Amino acid sequence: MSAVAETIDRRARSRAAAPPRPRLRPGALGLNLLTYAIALLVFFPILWTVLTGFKAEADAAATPPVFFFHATLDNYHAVFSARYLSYFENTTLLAGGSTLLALVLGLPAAYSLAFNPTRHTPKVLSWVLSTKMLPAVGALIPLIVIYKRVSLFDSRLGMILLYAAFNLPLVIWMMRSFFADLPKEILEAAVVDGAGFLRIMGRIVLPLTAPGLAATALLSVIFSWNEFLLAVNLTGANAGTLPVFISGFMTSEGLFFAKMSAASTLAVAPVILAGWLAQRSLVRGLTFGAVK
Amino acid sequence: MRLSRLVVSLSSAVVLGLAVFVAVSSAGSSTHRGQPTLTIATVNNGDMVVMESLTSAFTKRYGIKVKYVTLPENTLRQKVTSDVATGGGQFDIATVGTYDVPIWAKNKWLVSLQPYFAKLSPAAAKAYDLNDLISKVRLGLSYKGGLYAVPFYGESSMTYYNKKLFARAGLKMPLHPKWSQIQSFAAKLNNSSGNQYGICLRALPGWGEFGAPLTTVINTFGGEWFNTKWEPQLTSPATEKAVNFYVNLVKKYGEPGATSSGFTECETAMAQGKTSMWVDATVAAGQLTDPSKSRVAKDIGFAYAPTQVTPLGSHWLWAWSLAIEASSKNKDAAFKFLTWATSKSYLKLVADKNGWAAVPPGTRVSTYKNASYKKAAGSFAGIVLNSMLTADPTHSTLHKVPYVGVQFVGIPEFQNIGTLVTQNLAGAVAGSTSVSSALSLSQTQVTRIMKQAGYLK
Amino acid sequence: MTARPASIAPPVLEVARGRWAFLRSQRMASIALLLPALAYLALMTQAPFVVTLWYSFHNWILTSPELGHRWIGIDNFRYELTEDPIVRSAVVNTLEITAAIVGGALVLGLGFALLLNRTFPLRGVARSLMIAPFFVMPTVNAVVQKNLFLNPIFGLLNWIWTSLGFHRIDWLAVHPKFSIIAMAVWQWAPFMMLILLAGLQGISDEVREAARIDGAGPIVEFRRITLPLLAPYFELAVLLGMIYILQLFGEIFVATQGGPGTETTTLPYYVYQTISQANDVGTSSAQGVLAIVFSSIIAALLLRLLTRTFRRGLTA
Repeated sequence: MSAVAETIDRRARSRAAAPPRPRLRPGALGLNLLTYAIALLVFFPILWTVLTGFKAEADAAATPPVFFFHATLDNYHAVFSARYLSYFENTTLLAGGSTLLALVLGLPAAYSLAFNPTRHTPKVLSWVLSTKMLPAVGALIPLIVIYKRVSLFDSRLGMILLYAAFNLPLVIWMMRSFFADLPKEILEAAVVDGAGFLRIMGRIVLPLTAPGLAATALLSVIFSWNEFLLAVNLTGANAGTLPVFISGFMTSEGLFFAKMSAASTLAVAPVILAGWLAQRSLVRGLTFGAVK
Repeated sequence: MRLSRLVVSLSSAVVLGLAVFVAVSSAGSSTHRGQPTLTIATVNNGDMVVMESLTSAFTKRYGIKVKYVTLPENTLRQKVTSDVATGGGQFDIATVGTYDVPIWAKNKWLVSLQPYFAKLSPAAAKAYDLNDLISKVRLGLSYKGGLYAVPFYGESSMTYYNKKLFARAGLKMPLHPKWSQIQSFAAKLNNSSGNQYGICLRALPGWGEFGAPLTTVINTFGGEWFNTKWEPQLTSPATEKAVNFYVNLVKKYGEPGATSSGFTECETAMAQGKTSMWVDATVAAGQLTDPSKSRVAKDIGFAYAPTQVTPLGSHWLWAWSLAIEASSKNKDAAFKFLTWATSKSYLKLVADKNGWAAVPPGTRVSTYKNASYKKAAGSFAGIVLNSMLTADPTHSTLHKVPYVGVQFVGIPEFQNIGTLVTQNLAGAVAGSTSVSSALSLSQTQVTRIMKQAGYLK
Repeated sequence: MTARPASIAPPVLEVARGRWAFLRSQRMASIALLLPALAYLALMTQAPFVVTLWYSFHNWILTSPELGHRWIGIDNFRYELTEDPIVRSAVVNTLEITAAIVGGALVLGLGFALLLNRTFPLRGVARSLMIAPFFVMPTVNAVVQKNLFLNPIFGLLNWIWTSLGFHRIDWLAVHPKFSIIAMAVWQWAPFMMLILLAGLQGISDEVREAARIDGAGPIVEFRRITLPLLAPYFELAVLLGMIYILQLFGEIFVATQGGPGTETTTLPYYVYQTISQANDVGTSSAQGVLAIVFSSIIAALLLRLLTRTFRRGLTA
């Protein structure tokens, strides 16, 4: 381990010793303002949704649009009475569980494909990607039939297993790419030191690819969190997820924008929180960069 | 940064642990201390929401718990169909419409309710009063003479108009308007530069969206979907005239964004005062007169659905109903729920909690004889009742037809046919094709479907 | 820039010359690492695929159980490939819409990533705001945008538009493809941004310093250093993005329902229509199988195009 530690240490010291880059370049302020403006513009539809959750239905679709309105918590009350919490619990378990399973299976696979590539590797990667090509809509009845047969229908375990299978290709492809980006000297040094797979993963590879790992995990959580079609068809009264819950507010015979916005805000808030937490490891300081 | 990593790893561990624990403790069973738990699939319409909130009263009385699965109509129909067609087992009670009941009964997916009604004690039967249910609705929910579902709420269609805008233009809406009159009103009231439109009509593709009002217009102009030999009549003169009328009315004096406008969008437009007229389901009456949902609550006027050549089929008949799935393991408990949710005492329960105007409409004649209900909903109750009493699914066209249904054709293929045709016609409304070419394309497609399904040789 | 074989087998070979057992165990170990994932994937995805294939050779209408479960061989495929008028336009629509969304999201995502790859105050907040569109359920996004933004009567966009003096536009009827593409690009740009940002942050300071010392301006730095180093991440983003976006469903389902006419009917949406409206399991399964073939062709073409510049890791 010592050779590796030395390398990492050396890098850190060299970074600390580097002269600080001048912050205020000309045009930096303009660029910052542009960034803020774009961020707000991009976020605006979501902001509007959040605001709509506090309006009465009559105000929700008013035109000219109502910016100042009588805020009401009725919609949130309706959302909680519709058993939001049990759907939230289901979705958290599903998204978290499937992401963890996908990582547990996918990280070793990505390691193997990145550090021990063979002539079969392209075929393996293509096959992994091809498993995502069957559109879920085409396999609805088959999945329903299979899941009923193995008693996984309307169960959280069943959904965790399914979502993990959906996210596994994402994990494998993305992490393989981030792993392959690492400088081979560090890895060689580790192998020379006699480190095994777990040590290399835990002490070297994962810390160095933390941004990639965070991005991958976040994407996997989001895909599971927002998946609608299979969730609606493969769950019932027990394992329903938030997308199913939100869609339950849509009706073809009534006004529902305000209630749906409230439900959607409550569904999105935890993910945004998780994303914000995950982001802090996207910060540059954690990565030592790759030597090109 | 250390902290966030700690938080992330801790929460991951917790989540994984919970996931394992929860997965192992598996999905819920359908009995709970001897008393069954019912699972019901339903749509999220206002009356169902109220039913869900009042279910605790049912549980208190009978000790039976009820779990709800609420979804939008099309998703629900697709999900329940997939479920029953693959062996069922998910739901005890399904919320079905007058379109679904005869078809599902024929497929043996629903149980006949006759034996259950026969088993009721005389006192219970008298309290429930089966004959109080509106006869046409009962007819729509029967198959081969047996009742397969009980109506939770029923509706027909009628004309809504904005009294203030009408008065301002010096116009008066007759109680029984004709479509040609509606057209001239729309022409006078249309003010597109002022973002106000003469009329709002559905043109959102879908057999139950665009298809419903369109079919009533086809009916009342003397056309039909199929003749007695099951040949599609989409290019017959009467049908073509009706469709041209509808499409041109919407294009010239109707709402923009018509091809995205279903019930909800038109209701929003009406409630915001953006349109002067709207012909659609009677259930909107309660919502349009509710100040928390509508900005023109005091200005809404009501009239019967417009007619033209014949009054037959000019206003539709639909009832969201509760039925027991054949695969249910708790049929007796389910029947208790069915009769509880459609009983006179349930209606009183809703009235006590939310007022008489919020009572589910269109199911029982006695509701319309009730003085308090008449007071609360008087302005439209009479129209609704009369419309429902005269909407006969077996006699809704000028010429004889081989199908039942007022605003739909009661065959399983109609889901596909209606949606296909309305999709083509939406292209005509959007201006990307002409009505006649959309109709001839539809005629070809429907003929093929009917041949494949065995109706035509 | 050093060469970069990603394999560490050669150094091991040098160190452990003659110790073939060690090398073989290394190979064993790496297969053992790979196998659980592959086996799991095979089990979970091939089972539904096989059943779908099985159904595609049958005729099964859900709402007409009296017609039963008949074997009809390749008749469904024959119909889809030769007679069905909609499937052809569905394929074209899918190609157009997917390409536009992937392209648009990539460009926007790159722009966002470049903007965010600097240090500036409130950077974390800006990043959260820019990623947020991807967090919201696609169906909800579509409902909100369809009704509260794009609606010609009470939509926000048209209110702004007409206040500026322009004519009211019925976006979803007159520009349906554009509306769908715009909604999806808004949703997917953060996805591209996440991947590209992770790649950008892998470009070390030392390289940049070297370039700056050599006198390169920002544009040259971008073209000569950033873009080439980002190339593998572009490819990753395009490939993954394409696989997901090919199956875009929520936006079309809510906003246009494949219309007007069949203008925005893509292959996945057409499959959904077949199963949920026509209740036709056989035909929808056949369409699903055809969708796989179609996606595979696209993916293969894309891989071939990209592999020319994709040097790393795919070669032994």
